[in-house]
Amino acid sequence: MMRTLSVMYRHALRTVRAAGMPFFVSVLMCAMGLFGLAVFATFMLNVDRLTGSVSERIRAVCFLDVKGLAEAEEVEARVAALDGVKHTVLVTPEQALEKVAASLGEDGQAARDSGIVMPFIVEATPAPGAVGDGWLGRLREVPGVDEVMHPSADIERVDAFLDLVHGSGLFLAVLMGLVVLVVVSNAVRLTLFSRREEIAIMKLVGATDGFVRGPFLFEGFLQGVLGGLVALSLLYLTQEVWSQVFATALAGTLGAATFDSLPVSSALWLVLGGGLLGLCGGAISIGRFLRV
Amino acid sequence: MPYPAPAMIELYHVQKRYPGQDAPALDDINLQVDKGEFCLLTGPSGAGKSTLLRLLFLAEEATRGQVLIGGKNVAQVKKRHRPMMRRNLGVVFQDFKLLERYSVFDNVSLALDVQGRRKDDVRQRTDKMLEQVGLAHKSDQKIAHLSGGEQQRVAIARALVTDPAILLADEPTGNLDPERSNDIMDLLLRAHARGTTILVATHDPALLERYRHRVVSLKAGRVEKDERFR
Repeated sequence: MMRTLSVMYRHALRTVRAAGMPFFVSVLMCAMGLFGLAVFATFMLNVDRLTGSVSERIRAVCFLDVKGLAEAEEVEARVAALDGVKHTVLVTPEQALEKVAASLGEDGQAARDSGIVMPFIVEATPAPGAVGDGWLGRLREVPGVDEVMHPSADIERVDAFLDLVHGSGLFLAVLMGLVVLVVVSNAVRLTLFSRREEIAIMKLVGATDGFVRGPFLFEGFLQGVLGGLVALSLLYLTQEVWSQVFATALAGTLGAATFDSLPVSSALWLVLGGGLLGLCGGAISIGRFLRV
Repeated sequence: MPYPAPAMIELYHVQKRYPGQDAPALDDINLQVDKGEFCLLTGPSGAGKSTLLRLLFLAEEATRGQVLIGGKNVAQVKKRHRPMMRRNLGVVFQDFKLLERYSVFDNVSLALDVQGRRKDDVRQRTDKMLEQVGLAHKSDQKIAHLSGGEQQRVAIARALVTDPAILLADEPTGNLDPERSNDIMDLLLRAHARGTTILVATHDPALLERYRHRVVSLKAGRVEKDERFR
């Protein structure tokens, strides 16, 4: 068994060497397909992270209906004790007015002089994943809380948009997978055509179908794996360029524009997935065109 | 009374007809070749010699009749078992059918490789066979660098390296000078002496004169004569 595998491996390497340029063209085509997939995955990863952190940073503003600081502190303690509340800050009416004035810039002084009396406010930061799970309703039910402001409708719209993007990503992934499949299948078919006489000879001296198929399946797998590795290299190169050029340029617009790389596990899946797609491409080609 | 030698090759009322052709390539062929026999198959071009060999090495199927190899009816052998059957056959093709990108050694060892033999066994048998055909010194050379006669010897070495029960050769001396032809035939005779059943298709009169053991003559797809001389 081991001997047969070793001989098949040797023939597979010979197959790869004999395949020449079509093999490398096919590796590049696979790499392009997988690169597109990897870029999209990295983009989604960062969009998810960004939107997740934004939704976590957006605090619910609870306007209190209380008579003094002691009562406001009691309400704050009740809010802090709620499930899904990560952190609370009590804002006094004076601090609230100052915040409003500061946000108005040059017109802020007018707000200071207007004599508006602001209520006590508790700013509640949601725990990760807490928003949307009846969280705002629970805040509103806390005794002493008069009104709660939170841009949950906007966040839901962003979530809906992200769902759409995720769906498109899945479609794109399937499409890229098919591209890799077709590319590898055709590359193996080319090799088969160029070596059909050799295959016939192998059959005539007693080679089994498996012995003949093995090297071509290996070739497909190798194309996919190499395509995956090239795609990963391109991805990390792109990320480097992004972080050094674009991220610096956009830092003012997006705040701290940090960039997450594809996790190692996903990178491994990309390479393995490329290999499996290549294997399938090889199998399809042999099944359809070899007829051994 | 001694038992008759078992037949290695048996054909009963075999017909082979190719689509679009009026006359069959082979018609009502009845032939038995016994174990260890040396048989020459002769006849003019188009007589059906190569077609008959193609039926025997399972490259084609008979349109009608039965073909038995080593007692097994090839029509009943499942497709996945055909490689095992082919491993008992050594075939020397008229056009050699060698792998040009491979070395001499790799061409010969291929027949052993596909059987999953151990590496040292492959090495030993291949080296020995190359020595027998006088090509040990060209073991690493690519086929394209060999002369026609040398390529023919590589083809014979590949056919014999597995010690097949049957050797089929289609015009093994075609386009070779008489001296080279005799060398090739000597190789076949040596295999015959080791007990291999040999069936050689040829229309070379010199060979027919010199190596006449049994000569089966085909004409227009039918057996015209079947003569035993030894």
